[in-house]
Amino acid sequence: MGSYLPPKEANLFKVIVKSYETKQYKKGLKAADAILKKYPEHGETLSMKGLTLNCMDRKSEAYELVRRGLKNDLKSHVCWHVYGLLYRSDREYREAIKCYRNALKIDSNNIEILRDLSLLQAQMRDLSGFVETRQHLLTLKPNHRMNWIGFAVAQHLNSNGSKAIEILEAYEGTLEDDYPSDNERCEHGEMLLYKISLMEEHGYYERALDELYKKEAKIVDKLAYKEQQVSLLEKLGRTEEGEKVYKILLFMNPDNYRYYSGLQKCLGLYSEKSQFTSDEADRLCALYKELREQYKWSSAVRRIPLDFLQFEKFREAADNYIRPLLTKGVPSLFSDLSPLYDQPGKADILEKVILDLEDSIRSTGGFPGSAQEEPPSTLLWTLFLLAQHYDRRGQYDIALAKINEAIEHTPTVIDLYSVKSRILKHAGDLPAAANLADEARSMDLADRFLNSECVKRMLQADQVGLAEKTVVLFTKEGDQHNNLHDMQCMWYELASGESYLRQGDLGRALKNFLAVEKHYADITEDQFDFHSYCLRKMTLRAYVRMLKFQDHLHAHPYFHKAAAGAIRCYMKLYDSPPNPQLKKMMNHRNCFLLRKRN
Amino acid sequence: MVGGVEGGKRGVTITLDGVRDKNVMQLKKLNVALFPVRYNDKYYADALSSGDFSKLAYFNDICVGAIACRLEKKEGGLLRVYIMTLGVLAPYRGEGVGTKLLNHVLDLCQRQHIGEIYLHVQTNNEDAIKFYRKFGFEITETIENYYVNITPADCYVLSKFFEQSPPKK
Repeated sequence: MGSYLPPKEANLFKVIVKSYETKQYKKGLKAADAILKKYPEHGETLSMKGLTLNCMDRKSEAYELVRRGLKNDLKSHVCWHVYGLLYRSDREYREAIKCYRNALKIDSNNIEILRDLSLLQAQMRDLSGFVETRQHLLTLKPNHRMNWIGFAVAQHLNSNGSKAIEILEAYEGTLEDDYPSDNERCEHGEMLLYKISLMEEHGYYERALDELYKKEAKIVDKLAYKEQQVSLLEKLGRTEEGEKVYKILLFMNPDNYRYYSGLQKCLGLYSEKSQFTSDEADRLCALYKELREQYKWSSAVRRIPLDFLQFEKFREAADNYIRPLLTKGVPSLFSDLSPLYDQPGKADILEKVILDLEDSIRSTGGFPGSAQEEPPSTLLWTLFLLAQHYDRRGQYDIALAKINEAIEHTPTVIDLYSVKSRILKHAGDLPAAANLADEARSMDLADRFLNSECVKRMLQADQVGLAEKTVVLFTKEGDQHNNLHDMQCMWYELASGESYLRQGDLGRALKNFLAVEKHYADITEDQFDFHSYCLRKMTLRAYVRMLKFQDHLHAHPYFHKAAAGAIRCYMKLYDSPPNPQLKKMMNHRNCFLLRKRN
Repeated sequence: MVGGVEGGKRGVTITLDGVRDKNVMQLKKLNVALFPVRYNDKYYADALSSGDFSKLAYFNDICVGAIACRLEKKEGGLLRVYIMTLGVLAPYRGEGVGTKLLNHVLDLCQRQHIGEIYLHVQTNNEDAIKFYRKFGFEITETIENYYVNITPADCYVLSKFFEQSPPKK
């Protein structure tokens, strides 16, 4: 660097670079000016000065200097690299890639530039380019772990999984027998799990399982080991072994629904929609009876049979399931039961069961057929459950009668007011729903959930001003409203946008919808730091999952809502534009949003 | 302060919690349900500033009762405690909630060397009078026409005096 300068200035140039790296921008600037005093047109110095100014928030000067530097020294890889860094800092990744490529034409083996380029290629999903760059890096520095891993991940992302496996195995070949040392055990274990997941992804089940068993001692994450093992056993059809592993997993966590369905699959007792022959249902009954004895504290093991039992057996099981939860007072009981309402006939049975319980408590103080006296709160929770039941079935009058009786019985239970608010919303009285939600909120001013729910109801009732005043009760003091944007509080922006749209305030509506769009752009942007971080930390499975998630980011419902809302605004504006010039501008944006949806 | 009392047969837990500006609405909800009187802002300000002398009672995590006191300065700088309200929601009576609330305040009086605690009760409210007598309260005064909109309008003053053990210095 700075090779065309005499020794004194060459040293000064090193000072600039060093100062840039250590963020001592003022010092760097001084050194640059010292060189430029003697050699005012020295390209690399001009470039570095520009880069330094860019970090000091003097953007326009920065671009001017960097461009002038490059013009004066087109053959310098430093100038091109700097130009690339400048674009990168402005998130102009495509332009940055071009600059790096030009820099590499001049200095093809520059490791720093290659590494920077590879990050951009991963970010932009230029996957073939990414593979090429990672290969180049590996060729240059095969003794770096990260270069092997990087090359393998690149091949994987570029849909060449078997190549990725080969690379990882070759990398293992370079390791000593006693590898890893204690401080690298976790990383190495992650690498192995990643490799095995690659084998699974490409259908090499047998090989993956062999490898898993062979490397067991080196895999630190024992839970991931077991889950990987059972997944492979299932794919190989080795269900008896699978059954055993699922039971070990259930012993570790008897409330994981996936383990139960996995176990059922191994036993040939699985159905997506819980439809079983009576023989299968009997076998399932027996299975869960046995499991219930083993995992006494599990709620899942008691809840799951309600999914497959039918008729009288369902009635009996539901009755047994619900009773202790009403005694205990579990406010989430209805949400726990609510998936059952999608199965034909079960809602009717539930209604009968709960009404019978209600009757019995009112007349005897206890459940049917039980000598035990229930605490006074049992009636309250029964009424609470019934209100939600009738709400779900659209019988709002009965739902309201039940919830009102519950409030009369115990006026201090906040959930009662929240549910009443929801019933009123479903019944179509939005202002009343907002009032009730506000009442619920007032009963515990330290509860953010109650506050947020209240704000949402206010917005649904188009009380935007009130909602704004309420929502800031939970933001940091000072920069009140912006704080919500900084926290990417999208439900709020969507609900305000929709409210403004209903009220015909298209400007404010659009502002909110576009704020959500911005969050998604930020989320995409936020990947950037992980390209280098995850390779270094070896969190490869999580990294690849994150990239795949990012590839489908705009399929998320919040983006969909924001895009649909914004499109509605634009169409309204297009149909009756406030002034004709806007029309042209809007054509452009509509296309953009529609494209993202597809 | 949180303390569990096993209610025998059903494993009921009764706990106490302080009254703060974040949950004072619970006290208001209770008072609307319990008393024919609408309390003013001063009542709530007194309750909040009485510190541990005002408590909400929770029955299995449901707020079902409260005691609200006011601390009064007597001549000579001595403190006495006035029980403004003590009540438990009807379905939850007979579970020991009121006893727990009152005992908490009486213990506190003793520990803080307070000489006197008193309250007003309508003259026909025999249940209440019986309840307080159990804890050593005595009728010390009758005030005629104490209440405005309810009959009988007369009330008793029920008081309990604590033996003054000299405060440790």
